[in-house]
Amino acid sequence: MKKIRVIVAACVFILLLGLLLSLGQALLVPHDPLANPEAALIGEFVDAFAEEDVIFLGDCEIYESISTVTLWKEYGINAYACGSPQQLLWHSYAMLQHAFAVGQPSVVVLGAYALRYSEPQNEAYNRMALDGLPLSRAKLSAVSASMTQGESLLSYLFPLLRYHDRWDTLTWRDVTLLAEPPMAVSYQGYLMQTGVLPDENGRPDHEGALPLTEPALGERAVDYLEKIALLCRENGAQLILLKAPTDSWAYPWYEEWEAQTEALAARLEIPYYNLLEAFDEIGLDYSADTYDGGMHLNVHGAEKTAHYFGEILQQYGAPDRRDDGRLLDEWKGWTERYEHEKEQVD
Amino acid sequence: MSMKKNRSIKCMTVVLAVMMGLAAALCACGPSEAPDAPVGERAVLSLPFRGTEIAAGDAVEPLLGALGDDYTMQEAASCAGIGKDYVYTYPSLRLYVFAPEGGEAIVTSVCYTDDGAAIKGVTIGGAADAAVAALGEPDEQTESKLVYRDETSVLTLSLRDGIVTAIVLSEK
Repeated sequence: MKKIRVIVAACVFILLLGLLLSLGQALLVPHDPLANPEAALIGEFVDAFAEEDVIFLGDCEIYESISTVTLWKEYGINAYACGSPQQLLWHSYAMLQHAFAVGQPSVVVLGAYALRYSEPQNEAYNRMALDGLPLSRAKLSAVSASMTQGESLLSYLFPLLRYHDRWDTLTWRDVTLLAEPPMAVSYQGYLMQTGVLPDENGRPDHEGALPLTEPALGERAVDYLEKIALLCRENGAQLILLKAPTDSWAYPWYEEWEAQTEALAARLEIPYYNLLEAFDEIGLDYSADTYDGGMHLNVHGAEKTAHYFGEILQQYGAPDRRDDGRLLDEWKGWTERYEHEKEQVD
Repeated sequence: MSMKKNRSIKCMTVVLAVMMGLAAALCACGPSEAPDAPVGERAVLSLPFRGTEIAAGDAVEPLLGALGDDYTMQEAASCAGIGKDYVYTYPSLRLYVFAPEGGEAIVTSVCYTDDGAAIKGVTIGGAADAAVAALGEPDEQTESKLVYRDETSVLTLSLRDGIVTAIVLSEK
C-alpha cells in the first residue's frame, strides 16, 4: 500500500512539474503576434492549413507579394501563403511535408529567392520558421539542417531552454495573452503592408548591391529543391517555381542566379515564372506599390500580382471553389477583415 | 532500514536528479550563448581606404568619422525587424553595414567600386597575375576568382578574362 502511495505521489509530482514547465514555456516563448507578426506566421499556418488547393512556400517574397484574398475574390482560388522571413528550402521542405500530412494541395508554388542559400544564416529566422511547427521527423530534420553555431537541437524541442531568461522582461500582456483566443495577423498567410514608400528609380533594380562573388546557387538548396519536386510528384501536386517582382540592393536577384534557376527548372521540369520580367504586364508602379522603397510590395502591389498570377494558377488546375458555401463563409469573414484593415490606412 | 524505505528514497532521488538536470540545462543554455557569439579578434584581412584599414566586423561609427562624410546612405529594414541594413557609398568604395535591433552597427562587407581605391596596388581593372604577385598566393584560385581567408572574413577578387572585376571583403 505504501509502495502505491509513493508511486502515486511521484506521478503527481512529475505531472505537476510537467504542467509548470509547460506553463513556463508558454509564457516565456515570445507569443505576442502584434509585437512580431512575422514570428506568428508559421503557427497560424499550422493551426489553419487543411484543405487549401494551393500552397505558397518561401520568404517575404511569398508572404508579402501575393494577396491570397485577391486570389479568392477574383478566381475563387483557395490558397495559403506559408511564408516566414528568410525561409530556406529545408524549412520549406518541412512545411510541405506538414501540408501533405494534413491536407492535399494540388498546386505548390515555391519562392525561388532562397535558392541562393546553401547554409543557415540566422537563428532568429530559423526560430520563426521552425518553432511553430509541431514535433515531427520533418521538423527534426529541418532543425538539423538549420542550426547555426551555438544552437542546440534540445532548445528546439524544449524552447524554454532558449527563452528562459526572458522572465525579467515579461509584461502583464504576456500573461493575459495566454488566456485570449489566438489573434490572426495574416490573411491565409498573406501579411498585409499598407504603407507607401516609393522607389526613386521607379523600377526594380539592384544598383548598389554587393558585387556577386559566389555566383553558384546554394548546393544544399538545390538538393532540397529536388526533394521538394519529388515530394510533389509523390503526392500528385504540380510544383511551380516563382520569383517575385522585386529586386533591390538589399535583396538582389543577379543575372547569374536567374540563368541557373532557369536551367535548374528546365532540368527538373518545373515551370518557372520570374515576375520581374512581367513587371509592366502586371501593372506594377514603384511610386505606389511598395512600402519600403522597392524592396517589398505593399497591398496594392500584392493585389496586382495576385490578379496576374491567378490566371497562371488556373492554367495549372487550381479550381474555383466559390460554389462551396462553407468556404464562401470563411473567406467572407477574412475578406471583411482584410478590407477593413486596408481602409484604415487608405 | 527497510526495503520499502530504500525504494522510496531511490524514487525521490531519481525525481530530484531529473529536476536538477532540468535546472542545470536551463542555466547552461541560453541566448547569450546561442545567437550572438562574442566577436573574435580583429580580422587580419582589411581593405585600405583614405589611410584607414577597414575590416569586416568593424564598428561603423568610428569608421565614418575617419573616412569623412562625403557618402550617400541607403537603409533597409531586415525582415521581421531583427535589425537594419545600410549601405554607405563613397567615391570608389561601399560599406555594407548591419545594425541589430538595439545593438551596434558593424561592417559586414566592404568593396571597391572602381579603380580609385587599391589594396597593395591592386585595383579593379588590374591583372590577376599582378594581384597574386602583390597579395600572395590565394587560398583558393579559379578562373573566376581569387580568394583569401582569415578566421572571420574572406577577401574575394572576382576575375573575368584574367582581369579583376570586383574586390570584396566580407564576413564569413
